[in-house]
Amino acid sequence: MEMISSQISLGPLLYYWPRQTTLDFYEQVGRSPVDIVYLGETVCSRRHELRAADWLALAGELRAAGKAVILSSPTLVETSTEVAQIKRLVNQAEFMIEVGEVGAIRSLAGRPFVAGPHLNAYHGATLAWLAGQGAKRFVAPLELSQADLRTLLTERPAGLQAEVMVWGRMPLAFSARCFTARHFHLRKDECGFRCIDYPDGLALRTQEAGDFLAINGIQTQSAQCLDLLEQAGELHGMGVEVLRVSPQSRGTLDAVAALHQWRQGRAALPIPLPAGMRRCNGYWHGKAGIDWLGQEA
Amino acid sequence: MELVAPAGSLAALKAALEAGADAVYLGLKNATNARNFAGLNFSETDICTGVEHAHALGRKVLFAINTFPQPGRTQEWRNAVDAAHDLGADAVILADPGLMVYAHERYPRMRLHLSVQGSATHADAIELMREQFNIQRVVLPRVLTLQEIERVTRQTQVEIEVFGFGSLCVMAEGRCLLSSFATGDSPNNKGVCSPAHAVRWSEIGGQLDARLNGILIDRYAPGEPAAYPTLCKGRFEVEGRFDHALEEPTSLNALGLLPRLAAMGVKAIKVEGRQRSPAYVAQVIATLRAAINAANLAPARYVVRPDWQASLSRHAEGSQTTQGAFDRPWK
Amino acid sequence: MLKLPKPPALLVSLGRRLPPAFLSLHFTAGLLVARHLNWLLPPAELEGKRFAIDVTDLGLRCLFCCRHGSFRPSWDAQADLELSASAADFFSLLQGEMDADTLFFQRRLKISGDTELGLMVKNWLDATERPAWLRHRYLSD
Repeated sequence: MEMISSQISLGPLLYYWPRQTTLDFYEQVGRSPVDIVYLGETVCSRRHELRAADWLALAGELRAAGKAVILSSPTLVETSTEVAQIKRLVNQAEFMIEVGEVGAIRSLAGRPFVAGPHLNAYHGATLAWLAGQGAKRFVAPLELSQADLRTLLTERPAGLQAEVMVWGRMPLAFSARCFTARHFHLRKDECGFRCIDYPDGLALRTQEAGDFLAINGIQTQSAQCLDLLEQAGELHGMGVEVLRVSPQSRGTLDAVAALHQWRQGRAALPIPLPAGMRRCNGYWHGKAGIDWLGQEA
Repeated sequence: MELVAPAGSLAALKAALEAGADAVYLGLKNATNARNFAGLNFSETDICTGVEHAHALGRKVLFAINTFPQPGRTQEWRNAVDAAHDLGADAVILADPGLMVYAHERYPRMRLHLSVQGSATHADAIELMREQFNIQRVVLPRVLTLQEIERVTRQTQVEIEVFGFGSLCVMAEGRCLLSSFATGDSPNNKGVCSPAHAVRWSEIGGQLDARLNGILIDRYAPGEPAAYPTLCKGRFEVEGRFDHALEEPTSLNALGLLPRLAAMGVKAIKVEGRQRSPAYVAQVIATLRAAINAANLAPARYVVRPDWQASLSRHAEGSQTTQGAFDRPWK
Repeated sequence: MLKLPKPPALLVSLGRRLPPAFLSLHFTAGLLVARHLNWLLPPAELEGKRFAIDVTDLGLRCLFCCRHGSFRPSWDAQADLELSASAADFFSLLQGEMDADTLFFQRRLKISGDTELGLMVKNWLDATERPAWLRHRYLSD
């Protein structure tokens, strides 16, 4: 049976995991059927379990393992440290960059890049502009419905690949303020790196104990795990080239394996979700992102 | 420094000009701007009247088209740009690069401002937009500190506009999906945050519950001041503690910083609140007008008058004001 | 700020004893006078909607609806939108002197029912310029 051409990508690790946990995880990634790996710290410039040189070394190892490696630039850039971080990323010519915010495009000065999911590319004219700046691929905004995504794909310029996130907690918002530090009554600059204790973020529930959000430093995520694995076939049919899995502490490589089985024409296995997590897919159906339309797993 | 006032109606526009605004920003009654609320905003006829009125007084009208054109609907946003040009607006406030391509090519002489929704948080982002589209001004996100504003102001030739008063967005504007996550509608896709159609208030025995699409955002004790059920400002449970886990419902108030902002070279002070009444606009603008005049006249002797502070505090969400990210007590 | 005297106890008890329909008739008559003076022209979105106004300190409850662009007393106890506040606060809202959000944040104005309809009414009243006799000078306080 002919294999489906969809590529599987692993998005950047959004959490702060201990160094060894991170290295062990990517060691497994190297042996997994993932095609494209996005690497780097995109959430908080204070995190340092892996430094820039470590990420580069890891990138080299994963490339040696046959993966296409892309370095992701930070999503919210305010301080001169963060600006310097972008310049360092851009100064290496070995790996392509996934752009986390528009300022990095200027530093790239026409070199090829991937336009990340937070660049707000909602219509063809913006995709055309990004392609003109050097974008080779774009990651679709998370809040697009299937219908809107289909329309957007018809508007995209020739040669621009599309990538859609299909699994993992969704990054929904970014703040100058660190909510993990706030929870512990700590200042951002003396935060004690408490986010290292929450491998999938810190759960935020409503006063009626409903799962709602997850706090990950300056980032706010969905408490629910996006699950569009069942839609992989439709996404492929719509012309989406790359399907993105976003790392969680558990189940990540199972999700990758399920996609791989699907593209080989075999039945997918059920995916264990990180403890206590529910699924969501509301955006796909044009509803609230938090909703889950489908069978309760 | 220019004082830029919000207007959700012709009545608010007139109130703003009467109170001393140098410019008024407004938008159409549709999803092309980030305050797409029922019954709010301007028809083209109203804009025509408003522009005439402002120009007769030597003031300006800034036309906000600061949402992101949705797939297959680019033309609606281009029509808004055409309307801004044809109705004689002094500038358009845009967020989306694809739309800026259109505005810049079609109307090369039209003044472009980069909206706060465009999320330009550092000089490279702003300079890219200047090189690409010749933007004349940028509205800086409310997440930047005074120090960061100063650095950006030095590093770009684009005019800098900052928020001086109004509700505070704790998230980087233009990149927050919390509202659509809970309700399906967001600032980016519908021009709304925590939309009214999803809001339900219920009061039982003095306890007021605020729900957004059924999700409990906050619960107020009898008599406790309430706030918009903007979901980043609700009270939630984190590890057994019930609190404003993300942000308190406070208002931004930069009254105390006006001379410093002016000294840095900030070109305009913006007031949030197109959704508020003409009474709010009149009182807030009159207060800031007096303060800016005082800061311009004798910056070294500038002091915040208690009556200014009292007037602004009265209109603040959550009835408290803060200098917000400007001085970052949490940093 | 304009202060209304506290309602005399007699008026309060009278308000509680009068049948709601009687009150609603007078209330809508007032609205219609305003409409005939070209001051309150309800937008199309209000058509067919039922409203309840609770004047808390007077113990008054008026029910009315919007039909064919004009206000009529309603005999239906249910409303799509219900607003409660004191007489003084309602009056300052009508004058355009007070911001509805400000009153709401301070828990002086209560809204129940269809929140979007409430926003529509608020925005309509905000956009309506007040006649000189009703207008409070915004900057006088």
